[in-house]
Amino acid sequence: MLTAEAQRFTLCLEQIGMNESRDLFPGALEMMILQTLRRGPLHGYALAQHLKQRSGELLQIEEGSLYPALQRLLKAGALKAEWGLSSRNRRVRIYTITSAGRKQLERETSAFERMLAGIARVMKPVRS
Amino acid sequence: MNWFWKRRREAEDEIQTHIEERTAELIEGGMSEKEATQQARREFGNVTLFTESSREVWGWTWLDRLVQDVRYAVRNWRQEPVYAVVAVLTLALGIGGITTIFTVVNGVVLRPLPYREADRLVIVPEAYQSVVNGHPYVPPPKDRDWPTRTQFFDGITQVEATQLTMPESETPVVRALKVPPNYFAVIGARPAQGRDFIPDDAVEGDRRVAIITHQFWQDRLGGDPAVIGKTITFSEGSMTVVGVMPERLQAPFFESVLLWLVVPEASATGTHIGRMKAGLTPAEAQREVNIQIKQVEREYPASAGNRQAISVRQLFSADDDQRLVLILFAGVGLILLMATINVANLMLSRMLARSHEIAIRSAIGAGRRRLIRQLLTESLVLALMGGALGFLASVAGVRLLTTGIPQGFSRSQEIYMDWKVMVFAFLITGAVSIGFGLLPAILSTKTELVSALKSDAPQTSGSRRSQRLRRALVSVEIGMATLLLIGSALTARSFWNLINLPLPIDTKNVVALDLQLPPNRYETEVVRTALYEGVIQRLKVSPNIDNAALTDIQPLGGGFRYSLVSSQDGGGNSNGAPSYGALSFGVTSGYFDTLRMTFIIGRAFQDNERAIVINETFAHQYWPRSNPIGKQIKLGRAEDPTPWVTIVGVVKDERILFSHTVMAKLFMPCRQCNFLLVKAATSDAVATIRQGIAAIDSGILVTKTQSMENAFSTNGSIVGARFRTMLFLTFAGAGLLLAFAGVYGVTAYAVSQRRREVGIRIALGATRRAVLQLIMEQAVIPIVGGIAAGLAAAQVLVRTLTSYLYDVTPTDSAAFVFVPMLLAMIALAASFIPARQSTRVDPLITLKYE
Repeated sequence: MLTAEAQRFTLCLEQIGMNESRDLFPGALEMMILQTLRRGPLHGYALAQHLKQRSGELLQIEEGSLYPALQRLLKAGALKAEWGLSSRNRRVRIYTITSAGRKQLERETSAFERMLAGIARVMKPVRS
Repeated sequence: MNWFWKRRREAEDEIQTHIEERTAELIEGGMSEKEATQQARREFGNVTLFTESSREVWGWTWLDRLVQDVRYAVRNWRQEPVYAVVAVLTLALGIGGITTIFTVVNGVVLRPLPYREADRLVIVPEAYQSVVNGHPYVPPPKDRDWPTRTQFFDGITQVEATQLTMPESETPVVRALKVPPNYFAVIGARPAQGRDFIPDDAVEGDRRVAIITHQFWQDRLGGDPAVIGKTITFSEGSMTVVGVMPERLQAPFFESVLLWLVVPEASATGTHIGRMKAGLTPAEAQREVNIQIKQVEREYPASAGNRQAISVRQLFSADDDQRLVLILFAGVGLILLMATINVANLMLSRMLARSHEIAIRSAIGAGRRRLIRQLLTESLVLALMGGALGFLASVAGVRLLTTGIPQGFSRSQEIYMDWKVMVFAFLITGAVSIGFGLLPAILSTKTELVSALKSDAPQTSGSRRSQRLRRALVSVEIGMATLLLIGSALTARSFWNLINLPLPIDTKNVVALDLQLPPNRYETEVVRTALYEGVIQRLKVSPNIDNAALTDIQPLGGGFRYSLVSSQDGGGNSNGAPSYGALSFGVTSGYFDTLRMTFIIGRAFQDNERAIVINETFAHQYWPRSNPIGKQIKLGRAEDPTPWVTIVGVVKDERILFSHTVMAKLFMPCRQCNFLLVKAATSDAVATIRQGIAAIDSGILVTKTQSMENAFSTNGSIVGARFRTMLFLTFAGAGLLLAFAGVYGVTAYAVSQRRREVGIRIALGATRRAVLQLIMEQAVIPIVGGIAAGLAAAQVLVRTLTSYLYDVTPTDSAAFVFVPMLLAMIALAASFIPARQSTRVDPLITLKYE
């Protein structure tokens, strides 16, 4: 059921031996990053802040885990990066989503929604 | 690579910035800087881990780890430099030694044949009744077209020896070969400069073309770069040079040839040389030839009476070389094995000492594979350094060895480190490093964590286990050293025997002279014979001269005459030819003594005796199991009117080492001999000889004199004595050095590991002598054990190798006695010296150390 991308991400994570936050299924982080960046380019720290805010503290994400995820997306061509300046005038890397990234996001989103729907059905109480 | 480093830094910078931003934010919110930093880091997570993970995405971790490993290894070596230095030197010795030997063997000893697929070349000499008439019989060309009828040759060509005279030169005689235009194509060689012959070249007349050898170009033309197209003037006419053959190329059988002339195919005469179709054996070719001959004889019955038989013989055979190579590589392999084992032992000892540290690394999370990889990296770097050093050493070694080669034998370019050698060295290095690195790496990472941490604390000599292991290592090292050293000794001896085969002839102070008789005075044979006898007699009584003889063909490389021989026994040769063939030489009785030829059985003939002397190959080929002395043979076919002659002696083969061809030879009393060989007591006898000859008849011209010793050198067939000695010494020396160094190294290291124990014992009150005694006693057992095991193994090894060893019996006790003695002495010294050293040092210092 998982997309090829998601499977690859899963493999990646296993190899690193990293235990991502227990709340996330593999690939979720990438999906959320892409979604956030869809609205506009951001640098690493800003991205972390965004995710924290938007999820309303519901998700526990180690900030650091963003960076490997960003690199993976970069390698996969879903993002491109440029060096620029932050609001505090520090040298930062700014990530922008690419058209390939947008397509990937669509795929991931629909896969995710299907999965949700499937789970919801299973979890629904049986009509008596 | 810069890009790689940049990426690394980028990842680090980025994460750093992230943390800084968060910290700044927190500070703005009111936290202290210290707390803010801590908080930011905590929120971020494991910085190192995430940095590495980010980098890993791009797949360069292996490089990262490699750099890390190398740094770690270097740091280690700085702590104990002696170990690293010894390891590298040992490897350098091993790898350098075999690279040197390999280069030399490759370039000089093996002299690989410069012809394409040389094993397909055969020589097909035809024997005619040449000897009876005194002049060679040459049948009309159409009788000789049998080769064109056969289907088993890819190509057939001919070769005939001839001679040109270069006026105004110190050595006017230039030996040459007359060949048809397809000669080089069939032989499978191409000129290095210029071009091959083309059919248009082969015209009679003034415009003759020639292809010259490299030697001719260098020696006679001074290496003129504009050699192609140059005209050389000979007494017989001028030739234009159209090609120069490559350096290594010498004509088979005619090794002193300097020049090839081209003649039209139709009028070519001479011996046939053919290239068999791939997959044919000479025996099959022989059968085909016999069939074709019968057919030709049917068509041209006139020549049938004259033609006898044709035998097909492989032009080159390489049996002796193969054996030599085998021995050499066996010996060399042993040396390398010894080096590898030495270093492996060394590494193992060292790793035992480091087991504490390895245990700790294991505890903090290094996986076993990672540890092994790190240790292997260390081995690899050691091996690379050793290999590089060894390679440099071998370059120097090769240069050293080549200075031992006699003049004119080999240009320095003959022995060169070609790419094959470098690849070889590289592969060896790789194999060696894995060899000596893998086992210690696997073994040492097996250490059980707890026991290692507990008991291998630096305060003592180590647990019982590591002590036992160290002692075992000493045993193993000595055992292997014994085994390998004995093996090397025997191999080296075998090699020495092989390359030191005494020359069956002695060319010291032997001078060869060409005599040219004045015209009109010596027309008849009787007169000529009388003259020659007179010359010989005269010379023999001259002071300074030992003996003299005449021959009709110059002994080395002047050409040959192939004759048919029949025996009363009636048997045939191994190829199924109906009769025998052999090279025949006419000589006077003094020939054998002049050249100090060794008779295996029998004796030389007297001048008027109807007798014949054959060589070893002849005897083995046709009478492999019986004594040829007394047997009767004749030249020609059995029914020919030539007289039967008795074999009275068998001489050792004039086998020139590393030449590829040995043929059956026979020596018969001289008919028309123009070459004088004189054995003198000193090296400057030429004047005396000329005087002697002039005294008999001042009209006799001595047209060429050559010292036979020089002939050998320029022939290139003999490897100088000094060179041989040096090769052998390199061989043996490397082995010895390695064995000694290895045994000393491992033993000394093992003892020095007990330094602390010694210090403690002394501090507790033991006398120095008692401690020393203790250590020595404990050292003896592994030494003796190792030697015993090594001897036993050597016995087994030698028994299996006996068939390959040349002239060496398995009970050659010298090696079996000396080697253990030597090694034992070294091992005891290696135990004693460090032990004494450690008892001398103030125990307080010892205990504080490390």
